[in-house]
Amino acid sequence: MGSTCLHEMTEKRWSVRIQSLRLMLLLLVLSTGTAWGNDSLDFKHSFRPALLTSHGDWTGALSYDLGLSTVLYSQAEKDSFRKSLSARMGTKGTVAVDADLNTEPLNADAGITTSINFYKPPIIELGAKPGQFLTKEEGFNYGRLSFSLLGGYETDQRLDNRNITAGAELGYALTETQAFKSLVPSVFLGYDFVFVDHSEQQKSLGVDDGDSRRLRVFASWKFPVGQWLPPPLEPLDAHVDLRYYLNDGLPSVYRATDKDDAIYAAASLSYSFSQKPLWGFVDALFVRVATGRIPPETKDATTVMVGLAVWER
Amino acid sequence: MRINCHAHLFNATSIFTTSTLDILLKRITEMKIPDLVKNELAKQVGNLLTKAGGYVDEEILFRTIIEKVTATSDFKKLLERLSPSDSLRLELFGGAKLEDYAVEKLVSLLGRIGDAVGKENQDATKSDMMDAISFIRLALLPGIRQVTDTLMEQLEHDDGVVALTMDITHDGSNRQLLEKQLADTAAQILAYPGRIFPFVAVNSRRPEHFSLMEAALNGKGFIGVKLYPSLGFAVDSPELFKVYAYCEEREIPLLMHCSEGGFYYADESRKNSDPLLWQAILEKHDKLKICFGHFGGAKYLTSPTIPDTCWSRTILTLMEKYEGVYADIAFHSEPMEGGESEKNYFTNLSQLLQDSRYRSRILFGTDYFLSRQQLTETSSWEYFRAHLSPEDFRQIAEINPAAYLGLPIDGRKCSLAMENHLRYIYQQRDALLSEAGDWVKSALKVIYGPDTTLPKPTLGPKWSWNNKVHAYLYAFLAEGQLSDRRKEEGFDAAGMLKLRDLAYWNKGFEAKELWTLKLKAMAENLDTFILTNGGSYEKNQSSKGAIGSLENLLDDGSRYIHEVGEVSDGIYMFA
Repeated sequence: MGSTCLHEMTEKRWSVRIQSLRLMLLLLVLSTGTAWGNDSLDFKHSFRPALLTSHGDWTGALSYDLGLSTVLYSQAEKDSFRKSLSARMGTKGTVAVDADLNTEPLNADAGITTSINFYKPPIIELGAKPGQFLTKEEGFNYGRLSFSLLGGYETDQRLDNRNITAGAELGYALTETQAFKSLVPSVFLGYDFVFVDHSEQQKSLGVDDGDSRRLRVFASWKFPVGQWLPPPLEPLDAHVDLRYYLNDGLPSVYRATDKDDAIYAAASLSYSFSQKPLWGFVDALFVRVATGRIPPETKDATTVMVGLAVWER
Repeated sequence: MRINCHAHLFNATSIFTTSTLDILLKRITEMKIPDLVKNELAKQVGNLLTKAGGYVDEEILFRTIIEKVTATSDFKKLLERLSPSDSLRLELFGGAKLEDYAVEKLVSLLGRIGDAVGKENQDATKSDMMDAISFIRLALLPGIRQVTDTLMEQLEHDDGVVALTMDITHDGSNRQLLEKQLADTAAQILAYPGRIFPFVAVNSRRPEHFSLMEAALNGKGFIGVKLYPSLGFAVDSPELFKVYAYCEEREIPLLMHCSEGGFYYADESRKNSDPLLWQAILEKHDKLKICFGHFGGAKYLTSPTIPDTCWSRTILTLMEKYEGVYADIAFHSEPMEGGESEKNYFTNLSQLLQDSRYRSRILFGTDYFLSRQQLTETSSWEYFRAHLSPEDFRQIAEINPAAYLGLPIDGRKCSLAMENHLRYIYQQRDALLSEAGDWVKSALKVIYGPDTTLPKPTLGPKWSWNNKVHAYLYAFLAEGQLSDRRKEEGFDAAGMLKLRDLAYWNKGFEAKELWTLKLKAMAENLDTFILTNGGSYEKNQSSKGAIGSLENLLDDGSRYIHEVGEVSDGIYMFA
């Protein structure tokens, strides 16, 4: 009995080491992507340290977001309804010290996107005094619509559940928040074909890896609440982030465990230290309450994240 | 506070005219670069300054030089002698499309051409070639502000600079050019308050030299007088004795070019810089502060011992007799050749710095940007710092310059010239472009009272309504990105907002897919807005590049709006 336990423990340690190695390899491969950039490519990155908590447990975490993109075609016309075509690849996710508390997946994807802006620029005439200008011809901004085809790879932090994806996306985003526009959500719909690479969860449910299809619907709002409060609170914003995922074609035993759909909802308050960074390096402070999960994360959880935005460049 | 006591902030178009251009061209032809390149460089620079009306297109300049040099039969023969696999040969024989080359690539190609030609010329090296190109590029910068910015970027935050102006004239013409040079130099005081110490050029061949000097010293913040007698005037003329009397009475320091090199009107006019001529001047004005630029020439300090009869020795003799005599080590590049030259130089310099008669009289200087023919400003500082003891370097770069300039630090009383300089800063306080140093704030309290403060500096040219790109950027942001309260705070305040304060900013609070959409929408809408309102792309910019740059910029919430203005200014232009 004792020897069996020892064997299981050893196997588990090796399993953890292999998983850690895979995770490191994934990050390494994606991080070294910066070396491939040139003048025609744009590389973007951000890292955000944070504290994650769930059911009274705390852990340190680091959110990362890396992207490489290029514009294949951009209409340089001066008129409204400007169109463009671009390609991109990127990765994002959150790595936590305690992986069990991390509900955010790690993603890497690549795709091609075509888009149109519902924007007509106003024609203005500059005045003599700073800040003065006359609008000679009104314009409008009703957002941007885009359509994408893409493929990717996604996993949870433990690398227990990993998928290859291919699909199409339709997105609409509005960059303004004045008046009624703050009520208009930015929305995104994606439909993916999901080919399971490896699923501990499906194995634990006694089914073989089964491919499926997945619908993703995102909506987000930003409310500039500080504008309605006293001046010191001007940099205060409220944010709502809703995401819904539906899997189609999963084994029946999987659906029975209620894992065929997922909802993630987050509400945040952020305060920007616009004039002077807090302690010289903190650009913003935020509090986020989130509930649900983002696939392939399998556990629903309610988390409170108190975070700082630092070193964004 | 470390101070470079010998620097120049002018660009070529601010001091040279068609009638004085030969003085610059003489200097170019003395550069240690292959004749084939040098002659074409001098010719094209001459053409540019004569015909371009102050606007210099570097791309056209370097492309033309390359085309002319590579078209010569000498160069074609050289190419044929190169190995068939030589990259330069392959590139040029392969029909390099120079019209597709951006300026940096052209400069690199020209450097390689100079290197190839220089291999057959023992006097020329690749570094000489690249240094010469760097020098020309600095000289051809569009204005004094850009030359100053390039210098200040290489210095530490508190470092100061003595900015020496030049008046190259032989008949007193082009007064407006000199006045513009003085005004543009004075503007740098406000750009870097407490760090730029301008000296007004006096050339007695200009009839109004005295009144121009007086106006600069009394009303434009200038603190000293620069003499360059090798441009063709005598230092012992009655006109200049009047200048000396004026300066002695007001503790105004002088600095005279004192080496056989540099700019000169004619060969014989080089003798006008002989320090021996100052014996008679100092006998009459024994309290005068005079710094002999270049210490008479580095070549005397690279000898095993300083010769008994040379300009450097004369200066040392004057130091022994007169307490206001100084010398600077600007453009002392000879020791950098290493070997005995370097060893002798630092042995001599160290010995002088141990001698109480000279220790407090030697000043650090680099001769920026004329010294760029040899090395960068940072390298100059580093070279002397590394070869002198920390105490000696501090002596020549901090202690002695402060005494020479009359800075009110270390318990010293403010000199009259320096007080005028401080009063200029205070009178122009609303136009300051950066925060003044602590010594300025303390000195102003002494002059104007303990409650005296300076206003918070505006962003100046970094965020200016006079800059149409900035103005249109503001208008774009006001139309949907700034709250009403932010708009009421005005244009200046908007420049100090960050991108994360704008309406579109929602990074980290929504799916990445949505954030990416917003970035692209913002970048393209801004691009469309500027183009629709009459803007166009700067040369070398394209729609694709502009959108990419803007997306990248807009993704960084910690960026200030004025930084977006600066980047946009590099992308767009308005006629």
